[in-house]
Amino acid sequence: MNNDIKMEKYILAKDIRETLDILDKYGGKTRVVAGSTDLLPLVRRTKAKIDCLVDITGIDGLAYIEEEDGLIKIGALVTHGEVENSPLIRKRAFVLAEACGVTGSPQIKNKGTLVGNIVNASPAADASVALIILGAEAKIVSKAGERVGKVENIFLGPGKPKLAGNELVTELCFKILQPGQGGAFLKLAKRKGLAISVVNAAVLISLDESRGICRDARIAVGSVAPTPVRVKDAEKILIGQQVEEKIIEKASLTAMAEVKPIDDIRGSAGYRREMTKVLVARAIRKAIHRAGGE
Amino acid sequence: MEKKIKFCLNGRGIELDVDPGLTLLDVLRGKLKLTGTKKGCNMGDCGACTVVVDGKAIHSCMTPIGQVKGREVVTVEGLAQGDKLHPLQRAFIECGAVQCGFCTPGMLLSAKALLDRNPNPTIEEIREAISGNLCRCTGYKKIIEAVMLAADRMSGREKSVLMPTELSTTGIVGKRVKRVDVLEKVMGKAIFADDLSFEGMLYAKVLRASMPHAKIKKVDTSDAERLKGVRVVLTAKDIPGENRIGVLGGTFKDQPVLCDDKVRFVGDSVALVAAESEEVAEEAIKLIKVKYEELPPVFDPIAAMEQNAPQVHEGGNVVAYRKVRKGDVEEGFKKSDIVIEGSYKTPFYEHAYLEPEAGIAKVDTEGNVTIWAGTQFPSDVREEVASMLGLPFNKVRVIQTTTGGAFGGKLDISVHCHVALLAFKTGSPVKLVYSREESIMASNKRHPFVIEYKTGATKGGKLLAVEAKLIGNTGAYLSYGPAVLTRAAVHATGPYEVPNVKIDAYTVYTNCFVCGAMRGFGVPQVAVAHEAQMDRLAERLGINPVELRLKNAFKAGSVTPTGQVLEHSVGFKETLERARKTAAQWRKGIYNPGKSTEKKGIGIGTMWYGIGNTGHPNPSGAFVELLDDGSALVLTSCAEIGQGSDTVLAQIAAEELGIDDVSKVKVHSGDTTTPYARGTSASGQTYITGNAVRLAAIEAREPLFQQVAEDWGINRGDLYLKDGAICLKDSNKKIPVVDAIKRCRGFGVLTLGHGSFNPDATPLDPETGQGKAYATYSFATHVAEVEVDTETGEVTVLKFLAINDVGKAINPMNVEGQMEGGISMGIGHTLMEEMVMDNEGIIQTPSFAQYLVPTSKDMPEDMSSSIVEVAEPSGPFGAKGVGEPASIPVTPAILNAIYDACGVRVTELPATSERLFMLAKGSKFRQNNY
Repeated sequence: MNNDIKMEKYILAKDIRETLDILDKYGGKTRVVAGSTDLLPLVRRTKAKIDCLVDITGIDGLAYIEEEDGLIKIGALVTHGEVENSPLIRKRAFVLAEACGVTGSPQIKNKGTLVGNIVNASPAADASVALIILGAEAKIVSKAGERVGKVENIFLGPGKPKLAGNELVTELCFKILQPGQGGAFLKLAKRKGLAISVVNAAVLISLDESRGICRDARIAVGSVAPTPVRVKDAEKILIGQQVEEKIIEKASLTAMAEVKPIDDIRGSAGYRREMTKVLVARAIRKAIHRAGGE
Repeated sequence: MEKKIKFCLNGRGIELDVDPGLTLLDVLRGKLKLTGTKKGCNMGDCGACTVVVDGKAIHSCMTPIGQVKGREVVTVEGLAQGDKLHPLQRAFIECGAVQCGFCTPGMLLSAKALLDRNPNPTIEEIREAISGNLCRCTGYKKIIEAVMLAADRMSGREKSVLMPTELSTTGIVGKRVKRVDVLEKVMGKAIFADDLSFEGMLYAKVLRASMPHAKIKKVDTSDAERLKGVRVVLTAKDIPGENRIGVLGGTFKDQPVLCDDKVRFVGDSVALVAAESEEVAEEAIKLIKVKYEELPPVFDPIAAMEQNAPQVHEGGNVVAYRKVRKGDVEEGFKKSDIVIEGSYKTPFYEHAYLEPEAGIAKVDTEGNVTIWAGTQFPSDVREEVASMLGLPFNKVRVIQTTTGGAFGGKLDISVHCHVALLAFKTGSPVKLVYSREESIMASNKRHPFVIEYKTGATKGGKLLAVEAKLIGNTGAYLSYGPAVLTRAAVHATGPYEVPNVKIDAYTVYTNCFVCGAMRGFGVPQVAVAHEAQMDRLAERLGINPVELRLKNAFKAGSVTPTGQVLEHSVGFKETLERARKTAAQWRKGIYNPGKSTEKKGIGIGTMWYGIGNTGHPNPSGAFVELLDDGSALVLTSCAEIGQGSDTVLAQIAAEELGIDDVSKVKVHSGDTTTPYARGTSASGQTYITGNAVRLAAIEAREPLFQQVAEDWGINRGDLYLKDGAICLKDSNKKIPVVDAIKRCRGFGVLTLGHGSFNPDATPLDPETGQGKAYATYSFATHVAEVEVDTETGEVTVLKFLAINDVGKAINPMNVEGQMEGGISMGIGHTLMEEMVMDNEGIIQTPSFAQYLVPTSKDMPEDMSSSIVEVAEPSGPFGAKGVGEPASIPVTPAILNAIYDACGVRVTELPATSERLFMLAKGSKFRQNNY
C-alpha cells in the first residue's frame, strides 16, 4: 500500500477546541483538512513535508447554511455542491450558487468546501470572486479568540491566505441580495467540464429602482492576478450612471486595464486581459438584467 | 491516537485498524483487495476512483479513510446483489457503454449517485453527473444512453432509448452482440495489471533523466543500495543482453532500456530500484546520484535538420526520408489554373488512456520469465524482453492483462523490460506501476508535424498536382517514427485522384518526448492539411466543398499516389453523398444574425486509411478448436485493448462454426503461448486476425464434414452448415454439430484448425514510393456543426455525424463505439489537447489537470454515426477496419466548420479559444457557404 501523504500524524478532531489546540501546538506545520480536494493534490505534487493534518470533517455542527437577520451564514463544512443546491442561496444569493455550480467536477463539489476554497487562496477559485462581490466575511477563530475578516482581504497570494498558523475559519457570512440587486458569475475555461478558469468574473449591481441608475457596483475578477481582485475603477464608472452599452464598454475596458495577469499553461496575459473585458461586460449585462427582474 | 475506523462497506459493517490518513482508494485496493475501484491519476482529475459515500459520488483517491468513519461506502463490488446485476450494469452491457472498462466502475458509481437522488434525470443532468469521469474510448454517448435506460427501467417507465435496428444480417456476424468481456468489466472483476499481486512481490521505481540532453559520467547507486528494504539497484551495466529496444526492430532499435552513454529527453530511464515497498523504492530513487555532462539540446525539428545542430544520436538527426513520386508535379502545376499553398502545424498529443502503464514479472525455477502487463503487442514485448535478457524467445511469456485503453501508446515497451530485468536479477516477482505523471512523462506521443503543402487544380476543380513536405518530430527515439512518416507520405493527398504527386517526408530526432504510434499513425496530421487545402480550393473556385471532393474522389479503379489500383471496396463516394445530404439539412437550420457574437458553421473532413502495416508483412495466426459440447476455443495472441477484438473474433469463429451465441466461443487472446499475432495497430485486427480466425475455424470444422460424408456415404461437397447442424443439400437430412463432433471423437479425430493471414502488400520503392502499400483501405467523411463565440474564441461542437465505410460491420455496436470514441478524441485534439514543454525540455502539462481531454460536457448534443458497407472481398465477411478511421476526419471537419462560421482558418493546432481569438482579432468575421 502506498501511503503517499507524508506526515507524522493524521488527527480526526472531535471538536473545534481540539482543532485549535492542535493548531496551536504544531503551529505552521499543520494543515486543516476538510474536503481535501485541494490539499491532497498539493501535498502529493509538492511532496511538502507536513507534520500533522487535522481533519475537521467529523466535527458536528459545521455544515449549516442559514439565514439570520438578513445574513446568510455558511459553516466550514458546507461543500460547493450544497451551496449550489441550497434553495436559500439560490433564492437570496444566486450568484454564489452559479459560481459553485461550475467549480470542478461533481466529485469535487461533493467534497470541496467553500471555506476550504477560500483558505486555499487560489487566484482562479470560482467561489472567491462571488464571495468578494457579496461582501462576505470570514469568522476566524484561534485559541486567542475570534476575529472577522473580509474575504476580499484574506488573499495574500497563490495558496497564501492571510491567516496565522493557529487560526481556523469556521464560517462565512454575507448579506442577502435586496430587491434591485442582481449578481452574475461567468467563467471561461479550456473545456466545458471540470476545468480551472482561464478568467472568471463576478458582478453585483444595485439599481436605483425608480430610475434604473446604478447605485452600487462590485466587480471581482479571478485568475488575472496573484489573488482574485476587485476592479474598483471599473466599478466607479458604473456607479451613479444609467447603465447603457457605452458605459458597460467603458467599465469593461477599465477592468481590463486594472488586472495584472501572467502567462501560464491556461492562457497568456494578453488573452486574459481581453477576456476580462469580455466577461466583465457580459456579467454586468446579466447582473443588470437580474437586478431589474429579481 | 484512535486508529479503529468503523464504516459500512457495500452494506456490511467493517472495522479497520489503519492510519486514518491513508486514502480510501489505497485501503480498498490494498488492504481490502477490492480492486474494482481504479487508480487513474490519484489527483482527482479522472474520476476512475469514484465511489459513493453517504449517497454522494466522491474521489476515493482524495478521501482519507478517516473521513468515512461511520459512513456508508458503495464501490463497484457492491452494485450487484449476488448474481443480480444493478440496472445500471445491465444497461451498460446492453447499450455498449463499455470498451476498455477502466473508467467503467467509477462511471457506474457516479451514475448510481445520480439515479439514487434523481430517478428522472434529463440528458443534461446525466451529462453533468458524469462530467468528472473521463472516458477516452466511448465518446460518452452510449454511457449517457445506458444511464437513461437504467433510469427508465428503475422507475418502471418504457425505455426511452431506442435501440438502433440491426443492419441486414443472417447469422451472428453483423449482430449487435454484447462484448464477451463486458460482465467482468461492469462488475469490477476485470483484472488490470495493477490489480494483480504475488506473494513476496517487490515494487519497482525508475530514475528518470532530469535534463533533455547530457552525457552520463557516473551513476552512484551506493546510498540507494544501503537503504533498508531495497533489494537491488540496477543500471545499464546490469543488462545481460541487448540494451536497445525499438518496435520496428533491426537497425531501428535505438532506445536504451537503461541509458548508458547519454540521456536524450527529460524522462529517459537511467536506473531501476526494486524494494519491499513503493515508498522505499521511491526513497531509494532519490538517493541515486547521477553525474551528467550537459549537452546542448535541440527541440525544434527544423533546427534539428540543420548541419551544425546538436546530434541526438550519431549519424545525424534526419533519420529517415521517404519519397513518393507519381507523374510530374512541375508539369502538373504548370497546367493548373489555380495553385494553393499552405503551411500546417500539429502538436504533441498524449494518448491519455485511463489506465496508467503497469506490469509484473516473475521468474520460475527453470528461468522462464512471465510478464503480466497491459500492452497492444504481446509478441513484440516477448521479443524485446528476450533480447534484453539474452534469452531465447520461448523462455519469455507475455500475458496481456486487461488493458485500459492504448490508442497506439501501448505498442512500445514501457514497464515490461524493467520489471523483467528486476525479476530476473532478484528472483522475486516485481511490480511496476506508473503514476499518471510518469505515464505522461515517459510514454510515447503523436508526432508533431510541420507541413508545407501545395495543390494545383483546373478551373473546373480537377486536381492536377500535389506537392508536400512533411517533417515529423520523432523526439529522442524512433519508436515507429519512419513508419509513421511513410504512412503519412502515402496518404498525404487525401482520398483523391491526383495524377502528379511529390511527397517528401522526414523523420527527425530531437530532445523531445519519444513519438510513436497514435490512432491514425501520421494520417491525422496530413488530413488536417489536405482537407484545409480542399476547402480553400473550393472557396477560390466557387465550388461547393462536397462537390469538389466528389469530382476528385477515389472510386474503384482509381490509382493511388503509390501506383496502386483500388480494385474493391471503395465506399468513399457514398460517405460523401451522405455527408452532402446532412450538411444541406443542417445548413437550413443555421441563422447567424449579423449582431450576434455567436456564429454557427458547418464543415466536412474526409480521410482514407490503409489497413495493416505499410508495404510490410504483418501476419496473424490463430488456432480454433471445436470442443465436445459444441462450443469453441480461439487461441491467438491478438491484443484486446478495449476496441472489442475478442468479441469480433468470437463472432467470426461462431459464424463459421454455426454457433449462435458468442458466449459459446471462448477467446483466449493476448498470450504469447498462443499463435503469433501482429500488434493491435493500423486498424487491422478485424481484417488480419479476423481472417486468421476465420480460416482456422473453417479448418476446425472440416473434419465434421469429412466424417459425416463418410458416415452417409455422400460427397463432402453436398454438405453445408446451418443453424448448428450439418445439412445435406436438397434434403431434410441433418445432424447437429455436437453429434458430428462426437462421431469424430469416436474415431480419434480432433476438430482443430489453424489459420494465418498476411495482408497482400508489397514493399514501396525507396526512390518513388511506388508499390501496393496496403491490401485494402477504409474511407470516411465526417460532418461538424460548430458555434464560435467570436468575442472569446470559444468553439462549441453542436452536431457531429461520422460516416465510415468499414466494408462490413461485424458488430455494429462496436463499430459505433469506435466512431463515437473517435469523435471525442478528435474533438480533444482539435480544441484543447496539446503536450507542452518549456524551452528547457520540461513538461508543462504533467497531469490531467493541465493535459485536458474532453469530458461528457464537451461532446455535441447531436452526435451520430453512419456505417457504410462496401464489402472488401479479402476481408472476413467483407470487413476492413475502423479504429483509426473513426478519429481522423474529426479535426478537419471541425476546422472547416470554424472557418465556415467565422472566416478564421486555423492552421496550427489545437484551435484553443485563445488561438482563435488571436487569429480573429482585427479580422472581419465572415460567412462561407456550403
